[in-house]
Amino acid sequence: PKRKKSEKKLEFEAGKVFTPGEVKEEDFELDLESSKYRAQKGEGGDRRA
Amino acid sequence: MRKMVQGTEHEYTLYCRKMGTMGFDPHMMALDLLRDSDLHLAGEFITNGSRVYYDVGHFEVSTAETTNFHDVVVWEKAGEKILDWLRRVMEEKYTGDMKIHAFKNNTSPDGTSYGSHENYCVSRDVPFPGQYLRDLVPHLATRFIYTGAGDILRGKYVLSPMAFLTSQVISGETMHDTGILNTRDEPHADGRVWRRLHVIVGDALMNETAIMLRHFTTSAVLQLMEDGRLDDVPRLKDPIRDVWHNVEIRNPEQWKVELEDGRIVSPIDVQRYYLEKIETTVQDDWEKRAMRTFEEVLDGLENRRSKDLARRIEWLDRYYAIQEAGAKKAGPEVEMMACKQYSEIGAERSLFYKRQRAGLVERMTDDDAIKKAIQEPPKDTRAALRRELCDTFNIEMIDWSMLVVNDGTRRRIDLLDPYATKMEAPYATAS
Repeated sequence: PKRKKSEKKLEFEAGKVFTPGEVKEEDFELDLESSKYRAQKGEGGDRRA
Repeated sequence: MRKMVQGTEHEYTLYCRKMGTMGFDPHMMALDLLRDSDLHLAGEFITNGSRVYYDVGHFEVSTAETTNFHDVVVWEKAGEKILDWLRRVMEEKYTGDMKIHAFKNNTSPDGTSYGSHENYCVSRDVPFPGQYLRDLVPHLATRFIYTGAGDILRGKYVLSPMAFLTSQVISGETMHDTGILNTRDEPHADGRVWRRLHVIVGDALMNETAIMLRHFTTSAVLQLMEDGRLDDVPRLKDPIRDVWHNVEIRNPEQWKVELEDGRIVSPIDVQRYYLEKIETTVQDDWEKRAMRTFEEVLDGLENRRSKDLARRIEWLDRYYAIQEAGAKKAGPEVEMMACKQYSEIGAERSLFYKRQRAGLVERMTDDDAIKKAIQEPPKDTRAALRRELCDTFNIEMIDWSMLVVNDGTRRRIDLLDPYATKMEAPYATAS
């Protein structure tokens, strides 16, 4: 059988998503957008009323 | 317990106020970024063995094949974290002050539904659908009392959105008229040996322990079914009617299931039947720990120890989160905000992760394991072999169970055994 790895521009940064110490709990608030967003119908039931 | 190849699929929903403007779609942009990152492997596959793609307006992640109920949690969480990373990259680079929300749930505030599915590799020797209807459906119709995610639908709090939206006992549909038992038969393996059971009645869960319990109990029930050890299983007279009754009730004392012989029992009783059977199969420490958790959860439901249970049962913890938000500022809009924000995957705005940081929910893995699973496939399934082949050859085509490689000679390599981590001889089954 080695494949040539193409140049990848973006490197995964664990620090961006595993930083619990950097979350300021006092700044945490509910966000109106959470109750307003829309989504496309996906794979889920649609039980009739 | 034996190894059982299993995995999950989630349709994540992304939302940004900029959506639709100049054709901006964060789902597509996230996929483009992923393809251009060091996590990309080949085609729709990423280095950890999972498959990531666009599906009907959603960013879908299908986990790599795993062999047990604890690994599936780790690789599911890895997929969640990969999307969270992409979300943050998009916010930094493209949307300025506009937030991108990423939800791991099953319905938007207007009730539009989307999926989260489980897959289990089951012996083809088990008659379908007959034995599944008898042995498995009573489990799937009652397990949501501890595997439900909780949601607000049609103005009501329900224990499980996907159970609430299920309307048939058996069905091949995934978008409407969905069933407790789904009949899809795409094995992604040697179909003479295995069926890939596609379970679509489960919810998208944030809580690691709830995910673990769901897979521990369901894979154990499937193995008992394979072994023909569920002949005396409780038979439900009208599973859909009872699901619809129980899914809207938070008080376990009011849950009920009617058996074919006319007796009325609790779904907890049905789950205790399975618990006693599963107890005879547990061997290693993981299984013993899961077994203890299962027993404690059923005891807790029976004795209504809800504060303790909320550490492990998502519908309960979400309910408490909504109540706490409502205590500060009442109203249905606040309740919906809390309900949906619980399922955001970004640690800085997810109510679930805020509660996990506060120690209110029980973990069953840790960040180090998840970090590793972001980059690497499980070592004991076909996912490891697929990764090795992709690191070795130029790939022309790739799917779960086959590759077309081309290094001057174009050839197809079939990966029909989801448990195989090595070719019998190096790459010898190419044809």
